[in-house]
Amino acid sequence: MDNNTQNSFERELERRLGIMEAPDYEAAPCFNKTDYIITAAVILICIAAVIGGAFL
Amino acid sequence: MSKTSSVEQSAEKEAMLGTLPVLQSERLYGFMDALLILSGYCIATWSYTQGAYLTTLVGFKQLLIGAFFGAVLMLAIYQLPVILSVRYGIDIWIWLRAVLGRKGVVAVSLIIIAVNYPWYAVSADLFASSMNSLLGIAHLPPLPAAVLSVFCVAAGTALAYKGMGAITATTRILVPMLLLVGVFVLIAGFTSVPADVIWNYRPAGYEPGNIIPYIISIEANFAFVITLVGGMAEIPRLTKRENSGFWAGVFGQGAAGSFFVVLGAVMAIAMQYTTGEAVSDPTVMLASLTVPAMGLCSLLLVAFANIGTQAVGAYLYGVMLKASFKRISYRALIIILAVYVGLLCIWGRITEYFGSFLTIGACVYAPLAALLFTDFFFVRKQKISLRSAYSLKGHNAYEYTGGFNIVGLLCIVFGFCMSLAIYDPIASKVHIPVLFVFTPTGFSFLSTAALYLILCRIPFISKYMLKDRSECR
Repeated sequence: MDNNTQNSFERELERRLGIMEAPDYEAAPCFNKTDYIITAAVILICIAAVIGGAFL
Repeated sequence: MSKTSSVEQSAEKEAMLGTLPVLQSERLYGFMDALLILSGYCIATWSYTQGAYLTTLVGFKQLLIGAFFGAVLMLAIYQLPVILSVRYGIDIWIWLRAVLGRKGVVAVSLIIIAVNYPWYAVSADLFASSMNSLLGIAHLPPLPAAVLSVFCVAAGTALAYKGMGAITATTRILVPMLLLVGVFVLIAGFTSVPADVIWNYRPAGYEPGNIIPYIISIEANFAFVITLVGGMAEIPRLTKRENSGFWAGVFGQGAAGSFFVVLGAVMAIAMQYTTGEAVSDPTVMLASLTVPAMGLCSLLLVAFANIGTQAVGAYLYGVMLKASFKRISYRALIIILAVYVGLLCIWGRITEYFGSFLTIGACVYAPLAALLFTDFFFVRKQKISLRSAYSLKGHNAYEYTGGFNIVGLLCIVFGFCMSLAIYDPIASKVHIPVLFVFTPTGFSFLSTAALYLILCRIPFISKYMLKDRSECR
């Protein structure tokens, strides 16, 4: 990457960071509390199944 | 085309095929597309090899539990940090600059590529073997294996060269077809022998009460799914919701990938029952268990599936390398990767040496996944300085010691050693039985996470690690 390309990369990066930091930027919907609860439940079910499998 | 639009297209290309953060308006995928692409990546001949291998360890019921619940368990834990990729539109390797340092990322990503990318040579080798079996069924002379395997690599690389549009279009058609054929083959496997032969299957040398083979099978499932850690974020960062990116990764591997592992196991058990031979080549299995013409299904199950896997793999690892080598274009990187795999294919002996090579390599993935998980949730608490991660002028929080984060790298070495201290994968010898119940990959993950968290609580280490706090919003 020559200096010109490097500079244009950094300019584009700054532009994107500016957009992402703007108060009106519509970010991807976050992983919410329900998602974490579902994930924890899936993990617990899997742990129980894997432990139970040892006794088959 | 106007100059502005050309610049915009070039920037968007650099985001999709490079390291720039992908903006929400540029995201391509919902849950279903991401799921199809990641499923397409996971469905390859190595699934059948894994399934056949598991039948040498455990009975069918334990195999089912390990393949689905064991795989989903590991995936649901280690893939949680992909939500950072969706949030910031970046690859995990950008975040890992905070954990390993800028040069540390280059070193670890090169190790991961060297250890992991030969998987694609194995895939291409299996492709060649299956295609020659197919030629044999059609009474045609075999072609040199190197020619067929290099063709597989070249076809996959050509798809990846065209970018995500070609890969998305291909997987939208290919994956549903693969799943349909998979269901048909599963029915063929269960009906070609009495169903209870498969359901009540026990491997040769089965000892009631001996838990070691079961733990080795769970370890095999953990190791199998954790190999994606290096390339786990490239597709999720293009998704529109954090939960879509996460669940697509978990179910792409844990459901679709595992279904084909079980399919391989069913066919291996049925083959053992009908021919007395433990075969894992799907072409031979299909031709033997149904009618020879059904071997043609392997064109889909092996040929297209392996080329699709090669394409997605080239994209994932091309983008991953781009995080370390930003001066080299994405297309040049995937050609370099193709040359590496092509040379291994021409050498022709990768499958012979690959077992030990890969098992030792798997010892690196667990500590890496543990560091990312702990850093994201408990150390940096989901906040990073992107300006320091991209080394913009005046932002040096992740420079550490000459570009290497000594704490992160030390933890990787620790996790690697813990894994080998518990179990010797080459001699298949358990060294510490009490810790072996956690499996080597599981314990390596837990102990690395604990060590990293404890180290980061020590004040002078915390000061070394968290120089970015003033930059984080």
